[in-house]
Amino acid sequence: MTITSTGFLLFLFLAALVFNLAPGRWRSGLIFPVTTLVFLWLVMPTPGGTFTVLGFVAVFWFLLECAHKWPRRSVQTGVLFGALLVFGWIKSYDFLSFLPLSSQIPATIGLSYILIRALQLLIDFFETPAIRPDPVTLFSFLTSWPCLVSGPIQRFQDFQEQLRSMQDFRLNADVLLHSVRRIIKGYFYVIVLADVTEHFWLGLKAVSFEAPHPVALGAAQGAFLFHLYFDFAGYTEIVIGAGYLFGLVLPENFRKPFHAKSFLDFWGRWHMTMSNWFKVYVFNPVLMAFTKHWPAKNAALFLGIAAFFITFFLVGLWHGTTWAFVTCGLLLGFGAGTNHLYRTWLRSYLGRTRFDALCAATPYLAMAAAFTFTYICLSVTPLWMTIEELQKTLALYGLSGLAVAELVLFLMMFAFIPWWRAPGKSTPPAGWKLNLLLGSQLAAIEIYLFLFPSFGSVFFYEQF
Amino acid sequence: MKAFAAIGFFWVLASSLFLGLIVCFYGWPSSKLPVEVLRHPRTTFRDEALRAIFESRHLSNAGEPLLIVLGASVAQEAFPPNALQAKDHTLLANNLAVGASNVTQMAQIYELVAKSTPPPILKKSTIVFAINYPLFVSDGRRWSNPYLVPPSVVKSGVLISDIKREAMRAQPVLDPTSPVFQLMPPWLVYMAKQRLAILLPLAEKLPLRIADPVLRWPGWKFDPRIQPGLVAPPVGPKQETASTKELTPHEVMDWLTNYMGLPSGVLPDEQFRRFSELILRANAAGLHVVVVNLPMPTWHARESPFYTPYLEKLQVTISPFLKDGTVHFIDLAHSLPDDKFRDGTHPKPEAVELWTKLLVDQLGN
Repeated sequence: MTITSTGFLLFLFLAALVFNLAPGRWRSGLIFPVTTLVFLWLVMPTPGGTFTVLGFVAVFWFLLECAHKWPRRSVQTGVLFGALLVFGWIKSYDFLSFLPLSSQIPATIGLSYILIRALQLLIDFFETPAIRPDPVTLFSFLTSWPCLVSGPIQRFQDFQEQLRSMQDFRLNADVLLHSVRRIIKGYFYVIVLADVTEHFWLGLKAVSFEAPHPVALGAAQGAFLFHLYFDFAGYTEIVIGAGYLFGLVLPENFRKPFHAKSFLDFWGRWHMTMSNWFKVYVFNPVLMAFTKHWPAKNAALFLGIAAFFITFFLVGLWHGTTWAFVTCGLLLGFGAGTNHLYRTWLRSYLGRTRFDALCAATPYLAMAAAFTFTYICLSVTPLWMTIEELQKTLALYGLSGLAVAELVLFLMMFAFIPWWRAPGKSTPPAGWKLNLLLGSQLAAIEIYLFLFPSFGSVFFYEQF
Repeated sequence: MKAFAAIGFFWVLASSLFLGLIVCFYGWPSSKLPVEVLRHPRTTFRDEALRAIFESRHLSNAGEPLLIVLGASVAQEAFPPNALQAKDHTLLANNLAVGASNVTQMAQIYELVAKSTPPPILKKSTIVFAINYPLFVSDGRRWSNPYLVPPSVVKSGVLISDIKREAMRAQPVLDPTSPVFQLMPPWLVYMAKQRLAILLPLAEKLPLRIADPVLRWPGWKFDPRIQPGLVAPPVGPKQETASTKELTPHEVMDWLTNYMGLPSGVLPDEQFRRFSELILRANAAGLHVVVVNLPMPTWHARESPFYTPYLEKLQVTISPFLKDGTVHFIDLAHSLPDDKFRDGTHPKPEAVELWTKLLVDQLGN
């Protein structure tokens, strides 16, 4: 079952029906965990995948109990590494291939997101032992079905609060309308816009591999970013809308990412729950540790660059462990570090007033946005090219070919981003206009599906 | 609640406007009997599957008993409805055979037929399963064949027939295996198909993928580093492509042997079991079931490793039905000389009349 299948809609309908008809006291402890278990069973590629995820949850609960019983620093460190080791073993990482049965573990979906939620719970538990969950709550949180496949990443404390309030949740017409609106928008993004952009991206990718065609390569990079956006933002809309039906208010994952003014600003708007997680649990502790170790004031800039580099390198690495993802991590880390250096240097060189004036100037904004998105497209290229394809592309195009491709991409972004940001587009419609939009989106989904039936398309982030 | 009604209203309005625009350009979809899936020249099996899905709806307009032919490409070419009717005016013949089908797909087409035809008409009608050994290729082999299945489907590893794949355009109402289709009353399936049929002329004109026309733009291949005229396109002898090359009859047999897969000469039980279930379903619906073993050139029957095992398994499969008289078996295997075949299996166009005569004569008996 995929999120765009009729099976998912049927599951959602039945789950919401049972949940909302059931007595309040049954919801958080019985209906929601059972629904999650059913979803796990339906969504995993094989039944073995479900048992693997359940096994991971059981091991994690055991580790959490160890940390509770022996609240010592060494045990906490051991528990943290234990969770990472089990995760790496299940994911069959190459460097852990010496572990028994590492190549025979069934494939799973959403384990990277389960790990991120598990680590958040673990780290917060070290600081606040009072949040210790019972096994059913832990299972519901780690595998919470609306967030299972690809987030959004919800904090345990928020989830626990919402789980408790499920008892009093009443599904009324307003909640239902909000849910339906978001689900329709999400399906329109995934089924229509993501599919159109996917065909552009894959078609241009094929053209760019035939021979050195820099225009096609640049356009393929741009098309991929838009495909990723519609695919991921659409998925997020669907699951947030679905969550409303169960009294869950999931955190937002996107806030107008194409309005970003810089590389760092972009990551504050794109996959926000992941960016925020890395900020809280990687960037801040790393920067604090660095500052503690090198307290000199003139080192602050370089420590900031290093912290940004490490954080974004790990963001890239979180997606996978092949060399392509290492390259992605290095490019992201370099982008974040350079952006921080440039911003700090320019501010000190121009002074705050002139810096602010420059940042508000339209031509500068257009150039900065085009440069930002060109670099983002470049840095996420390893997400859709294997390391062999990257090497082949480098050999085929040479540095001059790649430079032309990036120039073409820059010009495309320079023309496209201001159009995307046009004032009329940033105000969401309301009232009858919104209903007209949603009705038209439903008609577009129906007609597009008929005219261009898709097969074999999978949600892009499902692989991580 | 008003908002839900408004969303629904605008949905219907928007899609009706779009459909209305298509009707203005292409006209209202015609409703005609008899149904014939094959068009000349043959395009793709995908188009034939789409026609089988949509044109089967015309059967609901039948007012008299029908003769329905199901099978693969040989059945399509050998028994065109007009030729069958020319031999016997009492027949309202329809041919819903789809090229390169196997029994699984034939059973799916049967479901489309059974859903569309009014039950009283169905009870008086005759269904002809025109078969030969390639129809019994396993699902695993047939629906992962890279020559016949789109690369994206092969890559996904999912075995899905042409009918099911085309039905994904509106899966709940078009896919004969979907629970919604099975539960829906026939009139609702008819209405849904009739509405979607408006889009068919547009679907046939549009490319497979929306981006295809844009991707053909030569500008994608422009490289500013190369000045025009410096690089001449490579000139070489025009090569004959595989698709333009006419296959000899023996090459067709070799192709079929490869198509059936390994181990050579072993036919999967799965398809024979499915065939048996199909006969049971047709019998239960009240249809008069006729199984026709199609003609085969003598050299093909002699040399193919699959032919003898096919006859043996077919005998085992249909003998219970023959015993209780629920199936009428017509064996046309050696009823035509080899010169009536244009290749290893298909009839010559000028011999079609003879093929249909053979069938009509046997049906009359």
